[in-house]
Amino acid sequence: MSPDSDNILDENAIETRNLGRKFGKFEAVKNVSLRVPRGTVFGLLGVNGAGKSTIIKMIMGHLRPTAGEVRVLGRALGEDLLGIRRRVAYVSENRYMYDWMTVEESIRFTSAFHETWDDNKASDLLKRFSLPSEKKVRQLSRGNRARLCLLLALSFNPELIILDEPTSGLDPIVRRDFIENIVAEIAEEGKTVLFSSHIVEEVERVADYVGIMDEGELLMVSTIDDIKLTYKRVRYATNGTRPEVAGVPGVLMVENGRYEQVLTVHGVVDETLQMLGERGVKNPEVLPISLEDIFVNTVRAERERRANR
Amino acid sequence: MTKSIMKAMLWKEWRETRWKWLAFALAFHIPLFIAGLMVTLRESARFDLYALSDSVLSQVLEFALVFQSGFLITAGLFLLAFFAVGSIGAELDNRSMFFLFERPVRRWQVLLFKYVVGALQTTSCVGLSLLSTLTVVYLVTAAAASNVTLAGSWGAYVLIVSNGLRGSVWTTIIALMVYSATFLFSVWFEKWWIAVIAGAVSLVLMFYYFGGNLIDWVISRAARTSGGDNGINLEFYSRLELLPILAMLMVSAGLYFASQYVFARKEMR
Repeated sequence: MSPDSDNILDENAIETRNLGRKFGKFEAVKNVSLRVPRGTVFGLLGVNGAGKSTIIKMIMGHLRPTAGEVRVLGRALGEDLLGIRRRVAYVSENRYMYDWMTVEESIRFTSAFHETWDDNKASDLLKRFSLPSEKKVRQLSRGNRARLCLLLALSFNPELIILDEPTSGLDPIVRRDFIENIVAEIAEEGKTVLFSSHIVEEVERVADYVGIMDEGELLMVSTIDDIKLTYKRVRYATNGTRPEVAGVPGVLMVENGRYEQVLTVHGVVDETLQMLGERGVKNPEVLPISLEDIFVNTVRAERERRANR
Repeated sequence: MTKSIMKAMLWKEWRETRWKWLAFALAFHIPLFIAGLMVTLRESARFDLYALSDSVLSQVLEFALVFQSGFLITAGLFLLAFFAVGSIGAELDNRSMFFLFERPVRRWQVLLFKYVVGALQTTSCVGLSLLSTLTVVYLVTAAAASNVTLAGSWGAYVLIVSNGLRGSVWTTIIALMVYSATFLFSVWFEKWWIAVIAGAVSLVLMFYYFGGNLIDWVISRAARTSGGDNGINLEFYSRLELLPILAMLMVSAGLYFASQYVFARKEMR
């Protein structure tokens, strides 16, 4: 089988197996196995310091894993890093560029590195983003700098686009444009996008898949639809006495109000309701849940679990 | 690495360093400016241009050679250390090099490119400064002094320049070695000021091993000049020994490969 047919058959654009990274004694990434299917938008969600950027840097080959392996577009990183970089665009959180170059020079300079560079696409994006081609990069606003980075990343028609906190430091209007229009458009072209963010609503807007990370661990990976189907909130009045919820299946988190109790439940809602009924809960209400609630409750539950370990 | 990538990298290096290179090249002629100022401003030090003859001109040129050599092997090479750090340290320090690492280009090629361009720029400045100093002094003196003729003084110029050429070879090779050491430190430490300090220390050590003869020669020349001895001793410049030159080239190559080794293992956090 030729390497190319290998790539076509490989349905994951990114695959990590038991990936780990230590900095001295600090374990920044712990045993992460992640699969990003081709043609999807994958949002990696986590608070600052959760390990998202470290994973991305390992995927890009900037950092070496201390455990596990990474495959990108069907190839192991060590096998063909150059070949992978020809097909992968990466926009880092800090948007590194040469500040002394003008926008036009940056475009010309970058185009020299990519045989698949599309001049028409670059000029279309230049117009669309209204970037001043004569201005130096150091004179650009944060928004325009982010747009230029994206232009440079998209103009060589990569198969996979990795965006590390692409909206960090941007104002809400630019941020929304970036996420809703641009990322969605890239996805429509059938390209794979992996982006990291600590802003839940960004991920919720465009991602097909979401992975929640905390303290270097990948706590959950699922499609947004599945998450909303399998995670629910169950609310009921307590009338002064709270029922014992320990041992009730599927309960991730318990929030105690003055007159009510709200449970975040995963997966087995029917069983949960049945057991709650057995414990004296009357008329429980099953409510939909937002990704933010799922994120917060998943992270909190995991932190409690770690604290009790 | 394709032709277009090489062209783009060359363009980037040139655009990034052209003004610095020019400033560096000018800085290497500081002694010439100082000497010019001294001659112009100090009554006692002023040469009587009308009294200059073809034979006296050779002494003026020798003085320029000693003066410039002294500068090169002391302050000049410290300047060089600064320049070498700037060639890569700044790009690592402000992380703009990440931009290249995201492209399909091998790390060792990026480093090789930077090393070669920087080495050419620095060694050309050092190597040419002796010759350009002598030429400027010769032309200015020949043009200003009525007793000096181009035809009559040409022999003296050629003699001093041929000695100067040998001196250029020495200083250029020492410069390459200092550049290579500072380059290694700037790859290693990233923070440019640490690399400058490390470069300066390496410079002192290198002179201890390789440049001792040259320093002795300059010191002995200065002593003779102050003692009123008109005899010119160009003994050191008349010798170009192969062994120390090869040793210095090998040290430079070793330092370059050490830079590649460190760079290949460097993680971009």
